[in-house]
Amino acid sequence: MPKVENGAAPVGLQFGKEMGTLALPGEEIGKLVDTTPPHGLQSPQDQKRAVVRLGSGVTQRGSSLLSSKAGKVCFDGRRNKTWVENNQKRYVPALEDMVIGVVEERHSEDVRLDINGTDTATLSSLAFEGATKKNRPHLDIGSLIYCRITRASKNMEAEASCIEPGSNKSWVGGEALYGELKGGNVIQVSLGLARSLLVPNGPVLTTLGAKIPFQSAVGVNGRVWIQSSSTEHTVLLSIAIAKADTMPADEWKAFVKKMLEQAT
Amino acid sequence: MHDKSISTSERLFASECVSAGRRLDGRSLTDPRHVSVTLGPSWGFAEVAFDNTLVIASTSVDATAPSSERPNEGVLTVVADLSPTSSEAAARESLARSGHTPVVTEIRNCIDKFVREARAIDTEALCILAGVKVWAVRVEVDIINDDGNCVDACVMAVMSSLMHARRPDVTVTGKEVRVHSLDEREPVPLPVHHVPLSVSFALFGAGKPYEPDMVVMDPVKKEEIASGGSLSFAFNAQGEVCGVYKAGGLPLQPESFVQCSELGEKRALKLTAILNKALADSSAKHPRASLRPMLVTPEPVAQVRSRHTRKKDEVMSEAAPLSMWNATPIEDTLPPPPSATDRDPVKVHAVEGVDSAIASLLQGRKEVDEIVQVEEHVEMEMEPEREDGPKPTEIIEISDSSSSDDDLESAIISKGKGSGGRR
Repeated sequence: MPKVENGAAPVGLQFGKEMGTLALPGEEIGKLVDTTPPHGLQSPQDQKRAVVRLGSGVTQRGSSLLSSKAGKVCFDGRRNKTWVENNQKRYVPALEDMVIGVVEERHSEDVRLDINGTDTATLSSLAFEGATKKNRPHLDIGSLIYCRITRASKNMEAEASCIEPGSNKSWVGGEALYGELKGGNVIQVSLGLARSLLVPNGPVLTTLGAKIPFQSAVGVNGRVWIQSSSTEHTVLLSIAIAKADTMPADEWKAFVKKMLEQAT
Repeated sequence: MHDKSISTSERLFASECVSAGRRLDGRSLTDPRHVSVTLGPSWGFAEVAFDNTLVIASTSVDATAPSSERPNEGVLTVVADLSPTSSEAAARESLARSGHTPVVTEIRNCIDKFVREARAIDTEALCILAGVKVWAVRVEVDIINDDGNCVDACVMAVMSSLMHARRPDVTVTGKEVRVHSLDEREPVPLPVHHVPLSVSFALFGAGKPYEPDMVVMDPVKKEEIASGGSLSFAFNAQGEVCGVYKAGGLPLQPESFVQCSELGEKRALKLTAILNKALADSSAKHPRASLRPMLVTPEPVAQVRSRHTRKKDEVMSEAAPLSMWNATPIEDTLPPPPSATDRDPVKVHAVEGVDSAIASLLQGRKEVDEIVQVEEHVEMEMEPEREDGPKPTEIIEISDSSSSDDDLESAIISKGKGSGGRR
């Protein structure tokens, strides 16, 4: 039984590897366990929980789960989801990823987004909370969109949406989580850094936020959007975040300190 | 240049930064990036990096039949290619269709103008036997990573590669041409006339008419995309303009043009120093003194009186280096050469191999003189107020009717002529 880090223990899934250990491509990381009534879980609540979600880097062959890339084995107990995590630059869309896309083409009913992957993603013009045929956002070519992936398949174009489940904030008010990002600057970082920036109270954004107030949106496709009150600050923040990709943590802190001293 | 993967926000931000006198990577407007040049281990291999922009070049030399129009001229071919992994745009392009991106076309034009048309290589000195065999020099440039300013990186890579490359030594005896293998003779350097290095600027319009444009030296990819146009200058170590290339629709103000040329000249001299250091470093790895590569010799314009003697001295000081060519001896029976030096192959020393190179270098000097004249003429027109310029006697020698015209526009036109109309 692997060490449980995030909430509950896995259901309907038996790990063959310890959490956080390295998996190589093709290696079996675990097995699916039959949990239908005669075998185990009886209550409908447990049954519901027994849905195993496979994230990026994990493929299913029969009842065994194989890793499709080299990386760290991860598991989220709250969602009963397992995935293999590594640092890379190429983005492969996965379900429920928060990404920053750039509008590449406009069609009557949808737009095509560049999401930094091999293929584009489609975003319906109505996939905004409260959008109707008559009242929907106007998205120009080159607009930045913060959205989530609602369909990811290796054989089909990905689909994105700006509707946040469980929220009813209209796209008009500007309070919705997803939507168009206006102004600011975008930098490209590795996917590993992008994921680490999304961790609540992560060191990079917290350190910078203590010195310069700014807004940011992080897409797990490696795009980070930054906006602050002045051009100069945005430049500094962009450089600092990009540097965090290659510098060790202590060196980075010293670098940021020096950079901010020189700037002010 | 339209890059779909760049958002409007990024484009606007890049321009905003330039208006505020800043750059996306924290540099000032006229600050270049760090440049590194790595040469070797094989002859003619060069790797040039402008921070994230990475370009490699390699030179190969083969003996081929000359074209019927130019029987006593060798061939210089430069092939530039953009790796699909170099940028998102390139990847997209290669997936979509097999055409070339506008970036590659522009780079090819620039290299052609700055290296081939500026006659960086003396093609007549590449002649082995007139009408029968000449050297075909082929430089292959690959853009491995494109983070802006590929033109400068490519031109520098091509020139580094040409400076570092060697061709097998040959002996012409009567009807026989003998290509020496590396065991027999050390290969000889290529006849590099001068080393033009390019300095590029991204141009941002001031937004108001008759105001100088904002120029950004050594732009990164985003700045290139956001800019209204680009301007590239090629200067050699003597500070002579070897070519100008303007791309993009932005109308350029005369002040900005002059500003770019001044900044460009200084930058080109620094690039020359970087290249020289790389050449010197690569030679330090070789155990023998005779392996030292040619260095770019900077020389004040006023002293460029007779390039024949300078070139000769320069080549004489460099002994032929050790071969790494896998050259196979050609022992075909060939007609007697019109201008080849007759020598006994048994008595020939390694150093004498250079003599033949010099002999061939001294062929077809007329054209070289013309080049020097054009370049000096351009230089004078560019900087009409220059106090410490060429001596008056020399001005008389090389100037022509239009040199009295100090008008800036005519200077620009004649610059174009000087770079393009040399053939």
